[in-house]
Amino acid sequence: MIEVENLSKIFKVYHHRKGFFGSFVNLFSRKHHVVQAVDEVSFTVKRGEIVGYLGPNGAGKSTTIKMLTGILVPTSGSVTVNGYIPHRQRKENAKHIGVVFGQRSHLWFDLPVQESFELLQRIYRIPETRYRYNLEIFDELLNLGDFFQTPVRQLSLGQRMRADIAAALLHNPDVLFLDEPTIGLDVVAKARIRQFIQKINAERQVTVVLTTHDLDDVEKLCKRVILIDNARLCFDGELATLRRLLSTERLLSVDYAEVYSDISISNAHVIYREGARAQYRFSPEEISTADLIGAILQKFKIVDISVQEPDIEELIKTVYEDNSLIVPCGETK
Amino acid sequence: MKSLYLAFQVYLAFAKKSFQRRMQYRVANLAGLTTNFFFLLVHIFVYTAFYAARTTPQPLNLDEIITYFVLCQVSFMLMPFWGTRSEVTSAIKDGSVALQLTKPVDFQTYWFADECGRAFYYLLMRGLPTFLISILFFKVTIPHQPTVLMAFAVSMTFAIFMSNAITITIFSSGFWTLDTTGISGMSYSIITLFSGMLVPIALWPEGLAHVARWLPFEGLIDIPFSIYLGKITGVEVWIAIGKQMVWNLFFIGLGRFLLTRGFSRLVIQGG
Amino acid sequence: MYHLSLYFHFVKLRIRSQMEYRLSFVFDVFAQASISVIDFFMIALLFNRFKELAGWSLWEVGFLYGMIGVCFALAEMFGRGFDVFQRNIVRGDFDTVLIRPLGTFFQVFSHEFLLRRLGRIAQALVVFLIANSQLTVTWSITKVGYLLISLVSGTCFFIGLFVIGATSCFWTVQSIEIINIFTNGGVFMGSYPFSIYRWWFRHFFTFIVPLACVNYFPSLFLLGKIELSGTSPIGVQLAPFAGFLFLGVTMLFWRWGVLHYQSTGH
Repeated sequence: MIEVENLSKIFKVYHHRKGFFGSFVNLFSRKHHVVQAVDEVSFTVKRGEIVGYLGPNGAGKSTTIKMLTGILVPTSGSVTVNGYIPHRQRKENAKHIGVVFGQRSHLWFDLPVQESFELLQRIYRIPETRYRYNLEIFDELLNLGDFFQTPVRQLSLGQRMRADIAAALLHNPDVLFLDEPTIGLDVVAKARIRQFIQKINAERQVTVVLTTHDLDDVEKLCKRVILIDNARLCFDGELATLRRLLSTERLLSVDYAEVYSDISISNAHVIYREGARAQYRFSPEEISTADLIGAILQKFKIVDISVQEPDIEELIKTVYEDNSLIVPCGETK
Repeated sequence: MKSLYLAFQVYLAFAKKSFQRRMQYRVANLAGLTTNFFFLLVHIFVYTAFYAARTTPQPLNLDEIITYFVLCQVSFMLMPFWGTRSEVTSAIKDGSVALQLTKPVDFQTYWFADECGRAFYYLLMRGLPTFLISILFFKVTIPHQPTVLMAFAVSMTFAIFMSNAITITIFSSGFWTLDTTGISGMSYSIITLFSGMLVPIALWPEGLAHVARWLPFEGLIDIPFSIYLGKITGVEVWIAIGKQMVWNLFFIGLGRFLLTRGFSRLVIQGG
Repeated sequence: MYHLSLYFHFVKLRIRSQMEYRLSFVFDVFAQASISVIDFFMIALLFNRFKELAGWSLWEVGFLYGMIGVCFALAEMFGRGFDVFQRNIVRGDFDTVLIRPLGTFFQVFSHEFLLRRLGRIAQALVVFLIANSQLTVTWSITKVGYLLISLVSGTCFFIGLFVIGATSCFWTVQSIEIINIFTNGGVFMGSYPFSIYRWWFRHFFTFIVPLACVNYFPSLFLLGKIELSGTSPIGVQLAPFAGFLFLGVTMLFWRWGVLHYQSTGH
C-alpha cells in the first residue's frame, strides 16, 4: 500500500543579514546552510495496517507525512502510495487518501460543517447514496449531529477534530494520514476518536499512518510502530517489542547530600550528572528497584530519590543508542 | 511640575516603542518608497501635460505644482488618516480596544504618543528620502526666508495633530456601530477632496474653493503647503495657523467627548 | 463542466455569507462607490480649468476612466482569492490546497468572491455610459464585440497582477506592497491618455506590463483616434489579447511558485 525507499528531504535555511544595507543585500544573494529533515528512511506498510510513526519534536515526522501526501517533493529516494507517486500524481493520489492535521483544520473556516461536507462531496464527486451512507455511520459513531449546522470556527477542539476526521473519510480513502489527531483533547474525546479509528480500520480495511506524542494512542491503536529520531529511522517493529523495552528500562534520580567523586553503582548506568544530582538507568531484571536504592543508601547520604518510567523521548534515545534494535520492517512478524 | 515631567517621560516611551516596532520592516519600507515615487511621477506627467497647452498664467506655476505634490508624498504618510494606522487605531476599529484600557494612562494622549512615534518614523524613513531624491530629479522650489520655513514647520505640525484628532473622532464611531467601513469610507472621500490632496485648492473653481475655505480639512494639506510656497504671506499666515489651531481644539474636544461616552458605554455593556 | 459547476457553487456560498449582514453590505457598496467617485471628480476639476489634455476632452478621458475602473473592480471581485492569499499562506492554509484533488490555481481562484465591489463597478460603469452619451461613437457589432473582449481581457490583466503578488508570497511577504504600484497605481495612470507619459514609462507599461492594452489602445480604436495618436492599427487590434497572454504568463509563474513551495515547505 505504501512503499518508502531511501527517502530523504533536505531544506535550505537562509541566514538574514542584519542592518539596513544587509537587508538590501538579502534581496539578491543569501547565505544558507542545509538541514537534513529526513535521512534515508525506508519502510513499507501493508493494506489495513495501523502504523504509529513516532519521534520527538523536529525528528522529521511531519516532513515524511507531507511527502507521502504530495505536499512536499522529496530530495531523493522514492515514495509510492497506492501505486501513485504523490508529488507527481498529486491529484490522483489525493483522491485515494484522507489527511487530518491535528494543529489545523482542513474544513472551510466560515462555513457550517454540513456545507463543508457538501462541498467535499462535490470536490471528490462522491455519489449521493455513498455520501448519505457514510454520513449516517459517522454520525452514529461521532455524534456529528450535535454541531452539524455550526460554522467550523465556532466548534470546540474536540468537535472540530471529529468533523475533520469524518471529512477525511467521506470519499472512502484507502489510506488515512493522521498527524497528532488527539493533541489537546481531553480523555473522553481521545477515547472516542481512537474507537472510531479502530472501527473504520477494522470494517473498511483503511490503512492508517498515525503520528503522535501520546503513547496511549499508540498502545490503543497500533500493532506496529516506526520510530525516527534526528531524521533517521531507528526502530521498526511490533509494539510488543517496544513495550518490552519500555518495561525493562527504568530511571532513578537522586539528589545527594554532598558531591561525591565516584557515584557508580553496579548494574546501573549513570546517564546524567550535575553537581550533587545524578540519574541512573537500570533494568529491573538485573537489579530490583529496592536493591538499587538500598545500595545507594549504603554508600551515600541522599536528600531525595525518585524512580521514573522513561518517556517517549527517553525511550527513543535508548533505542537510538543501541543500533542492534533496528529491525528492517520485512523481518518483523 | 515634576509629575508633568514624569508623565511626559511615559508618553515619550510609548512614542519610542511605536517608532522601534516599525524599524524592523526595512524591505517593506523600500517598497513603499518606490510606490510613493511612482505616484509622484504620474502626477508630474499629468500636470506637465495639462500645463503644456496653457499660455495664460495660472495661480500656481508648474514648478510650484511639482513642489506641492512632492510635499504631498513626503507628508501624507505622516498622517494616520491616509497612511498606515497605528496599533491603537486598529484596536478601536476591530474592537480589541478594551485591552488597551488596562494601561494606567490617559487614553487619548497615549494614542497621540503612539501616532507621533509612527509619524516620526515615516518622516525619517519615507519623508526625508522622498524629499531629498526629489530635489535631485525635479525642480523643487525651496523657500529662501527662514521665517517661511518656520511657519511651515509649525503649520505642518498642526496638520499632523489634526489628522490624529480627526482619525480618533471618526473611529470613535466604532463604539456605536459595529461596522465603520461606511462612515470611514464617506469621510475618506470628503476629507481627501477638501484637503487639497488631489488638486490644489488654488486651481479649483471659485464657488467650490469658497466651500473648502470654510471647512477644516484644508488645514491638513493645502494650508501648510501654501505657506511653504509663499502663497500665504504676512498676517494671513497667522490667520491660517490660527484657523488650524481652532479646528485642532475642536476635534480634540470632540474626540475626547466621544471617547469618554464610548468607553462608559463599553464598561456598561461589558465590551 | 465539473470545474464550472464547482466554481458556481463556491460563488454561491461566498455571496450568501456576505449577504448575512445586509445593512453593512449596502453601506459598504456605497462607501466603495463614494471613494472611487472622487477620483473622477478630481479629473473633472482639472478639465474645468484646463479644458483639454493632449488632445483629449473630459468625456474622452471619462471613457478611459470608466473602462479601466470596470476592469479593475471586476478583477477585485473575481480575483479576490489571490488578493488575500498572503493572509492565507501565513496561516499555513496552502497545505490544505495541496491535499485536494484539484488544481492549486483553481482552488485559490474559487476560494473568494467579493460581491461588495459591485459599488465600484457601478460607479465606473455610470461614468463610462455618461461619457459615451456625450461622445459620438458609432457603435457596430464589431465595436461592441471588441469592447467586451477588451473588458474581459483587462480584467484578466489585473487578476494576473494579483497572481504575481500572491506567487511572490511563496518567497517573501515583505515586498508585497510593491504590487500596489501596478494595481491601484495602474488604475490611476490608466485614467489618462498614455501619450502624456515619457517614452520609457510608456514602453514599460505597454510591452512589459501591458497596462496600455487594457483601455488606452482599445479607446483609440473605439473613439476613432488611431491616426491622431500615430499608433500602428495592427497593434491596436491585437491589444485586447494582451491581458489573456499576461494572465497565462502569470499562471506559469504561479506554477513555478508552487513547485518552490513544495520543495521548501514554506
